Amino acid sequence: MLKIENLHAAYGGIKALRGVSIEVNEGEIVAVLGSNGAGKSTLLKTISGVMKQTEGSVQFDGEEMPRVPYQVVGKGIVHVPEGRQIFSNLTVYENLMIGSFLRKDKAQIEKDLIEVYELFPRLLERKDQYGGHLSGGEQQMLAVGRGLMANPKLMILDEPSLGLAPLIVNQIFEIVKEINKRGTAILIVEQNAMKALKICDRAYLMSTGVIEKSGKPEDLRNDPELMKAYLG
Amino acid sequence: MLLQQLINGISVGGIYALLATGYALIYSLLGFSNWAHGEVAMLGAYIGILSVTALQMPFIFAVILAVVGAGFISVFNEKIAYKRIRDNNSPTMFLMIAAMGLSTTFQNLAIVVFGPKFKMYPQILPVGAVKIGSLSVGLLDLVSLGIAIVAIIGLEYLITKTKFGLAVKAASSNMGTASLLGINVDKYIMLVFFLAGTLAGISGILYGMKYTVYPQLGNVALKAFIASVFGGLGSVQGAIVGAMSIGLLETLVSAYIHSGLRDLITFILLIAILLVRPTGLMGKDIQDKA
Repeated sequence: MLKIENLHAAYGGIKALRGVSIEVNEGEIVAVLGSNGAGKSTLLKTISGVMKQTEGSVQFDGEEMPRVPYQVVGKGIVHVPEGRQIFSNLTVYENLMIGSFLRKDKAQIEKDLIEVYELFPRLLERKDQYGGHLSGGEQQMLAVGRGLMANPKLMILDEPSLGLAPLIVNQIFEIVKEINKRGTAILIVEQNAMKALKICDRAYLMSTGVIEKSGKPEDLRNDPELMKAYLG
Repeated sequence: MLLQQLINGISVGGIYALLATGYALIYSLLGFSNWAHGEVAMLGAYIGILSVTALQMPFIFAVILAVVGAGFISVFNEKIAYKRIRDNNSPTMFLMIAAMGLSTTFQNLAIVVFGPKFKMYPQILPVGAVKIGSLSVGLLDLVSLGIAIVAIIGLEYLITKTKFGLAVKAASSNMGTASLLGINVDKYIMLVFFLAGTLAGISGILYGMKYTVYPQLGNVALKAFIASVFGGLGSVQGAIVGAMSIGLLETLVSAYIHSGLRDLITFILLIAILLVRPTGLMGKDIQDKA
């Protein structure tokens, strides 16, 4: 469903992506792994239109994606950004409502809200609290829940485990799996490679703006290059 | 006598509140002090007065023209200056400097085009006072207060109950993420400038009718700024409370102490609040725990 071909992007003169091609198929969880500065976040930002590519294409269901972020989400791709980016002065409920901002199907929004509260009971408990008052783990749940409220066909997750306790990380990964089971394809960027390899169907290994390798998690797990990328 | 002064004070406070709320909205969204906001009110007042006197328009049409005109002038400022600065990723300080530039430009343009003289709004409402028991309150003050209250209630409704308000609050919290979730941030910024401009236009007309219209009328925005700081920068409710407090304070100081001390005491209040409680009366500072 998502097809990226020969994507190039740069910050000023610094090239962050140098000809990246990846694919995500219906129903898959795909991981992009790599160390700091490999260009993983840039790749996601270019998909969601925050960054403009200098070359290459981002196609979704055969259609070229708009290059403006607020239009991309309407096409069925939601980007859950790095660092959670909760609206701290909005309540949990209001945060979730922003997720469904472009949707008009009120009845379905209500149903999705109930489903999000089922996945994350903590959010229901805290629905009238300000987003800024949640703990880091709860904020990550809110960020994912808010993304779900957009009713995406593809959710892209940028470092959902960042700065969270191991127990919470496991919980988040379990929920990502559950969301995928319910029919949303996932593209996840992670530094926690071992965790990501446990849940994904396929993975790409990225370094300095190019895809080095791709394959099944069992093939990549023992790959010396992956070890090198993470452990030096 | 005291009650009469209080009503007077609230009425002046209402005029300040119309300016202060728009100022606060823009501040909460873009984090800069829009010093050109007062000039939008001044130009609104001029559009109104010239439509009535020079163009002989019926008063109600003149008001509509002035209010909508002020809205467009506010949007013009956003488009010609602020948006470009934002698009260049320049520091927020540049926005404030641009606003100062616009403010000075509009003031001097008004002197050149309209002349430096004070202009009086023609008598629209019958002069005189409404007697309520032993109280006598100026009719204009009452009408002005009524209009301010209606406008402010409308604004509150828009911010707290509508999708527009939700989008503006989200954008003021985190523009990047708001845009990732489908909010066309530039569009909402433009709408906020329009809204703030129309409120400033109403304020300018009311101020012009109560006093006079002159090129430096926009300096009244300084009071709106103090009101906003006093109530809590960026908070719309705070701006309303702050504006009412300053209106009351000024009226009471003029009535019972000395009218010459009016501005002095207002500015002392500004300094005091910055020293004692910099977040203002209702400034909420929801810090991110995580």
